[in-house]
Amino acid sequence: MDFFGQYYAYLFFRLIVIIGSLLGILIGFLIQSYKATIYIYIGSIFLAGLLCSPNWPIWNKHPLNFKKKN
Amino acid sequence: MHTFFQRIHQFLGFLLSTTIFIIIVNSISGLYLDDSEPEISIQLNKIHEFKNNARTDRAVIGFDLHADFTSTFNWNVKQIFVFVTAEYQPEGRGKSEVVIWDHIIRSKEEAVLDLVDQKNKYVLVDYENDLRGQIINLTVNWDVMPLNGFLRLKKHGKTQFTLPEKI
Amino acid sequence: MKMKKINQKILTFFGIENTSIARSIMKFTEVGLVFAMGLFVWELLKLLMQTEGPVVVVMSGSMEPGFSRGDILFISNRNHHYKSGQIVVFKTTQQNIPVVHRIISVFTDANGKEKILTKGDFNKYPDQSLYDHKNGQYFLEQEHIHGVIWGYIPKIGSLSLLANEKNYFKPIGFILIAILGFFGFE
Repeated sequence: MDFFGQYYAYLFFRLIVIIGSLLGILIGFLIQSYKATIYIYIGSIFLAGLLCSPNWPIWNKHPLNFKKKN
Repeated sequence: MHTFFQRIHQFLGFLLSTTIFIIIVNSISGLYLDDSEPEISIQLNKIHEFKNNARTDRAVIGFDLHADFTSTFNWNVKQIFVFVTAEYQPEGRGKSEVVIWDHIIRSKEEAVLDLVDQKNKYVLVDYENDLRGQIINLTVNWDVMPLNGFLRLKKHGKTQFTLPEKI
Repeated sequence: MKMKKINQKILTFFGIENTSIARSIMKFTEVGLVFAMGLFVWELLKLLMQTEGPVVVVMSGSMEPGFSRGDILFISNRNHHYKSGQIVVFKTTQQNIPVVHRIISVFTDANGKEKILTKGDFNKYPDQSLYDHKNGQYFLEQEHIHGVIWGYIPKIGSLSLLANEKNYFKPIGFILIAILGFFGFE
């Protein structure tokens, strides 16, 4: 990953997990099932992990330009 | 750049915080959701045995219990521990309380109890006195055990009967 | 030649720079060490929390299905009066580990002292065999009880809940952790 890619990767991980946990709490509370909360929360973790952990090309859109050796 | 493993490590640290947040929300909501009074009625059916085994009097009774705990279940409840206590006060002593029957309800589906002439699981006996002629108060209690958070002990439903004077 | 290029691409994809087998073994053991350290800290915590504190870790399965091994319980201060149904922590003089069981009888004797009998939810019989009957103790007194349980958190928050749901979650979890660890190259 490059600098910007890493920044966005961390941002997206936190965003997806926070949305997943809030969604899980909301739906779990509405249907009164903690199982639903946990499934949605863990699902969001896997989604975020899959998207943000490996070195996908989208995280390499701003590559570092090192000076060429003369 | 951070490596794959370093990234995972960062993520795990963040996940701890969100997990704690979910646990706290679940715990506190359990406190405020728990305000329903389930329908409970208990009464004595009959006294099966009242014997003396050369030490103290022991009683085996049968009681009728009708209880509907479906309204107590919410997303915070793991199980409900229902138990019936027999309370009495021998002469010269303070109140004593014995659990004579208990049952664990694990889900909403099995939350309706409809028992007729249920025998006590644990013997009704005092450790030193005889129970002849004692007035016994039966109460239905339950302990709501949560998935996260606070345990709540409640009681409702009472009945009274007197053990025979003579064995 | 082509296979090497594809191999190289896959490895950069997952952030792995070097494929020497010796390095793989090193990284594998490094991850194993991290897990072992985590386990060590957890066991140390369990040991430290046995001394009377506000928290205790469930050691036995005698309160199943309510409390399982590894769950965390919160303890309150000692009370003046105990009721049946309360889950209390006490230590037997035989083994110095805290026992977490439920009160099933409270007798008040002629002097106003309470005699308490406890039993684990999963056990069939009350705890009298745990008390110090060598010295004639057949009941617990108020001073033997360290506190009442008022709070509960399951082990690993909720992942243990998930693991108990279906049989295939646990091995899948372990495999995932193993894969994660193996690809955690520096």
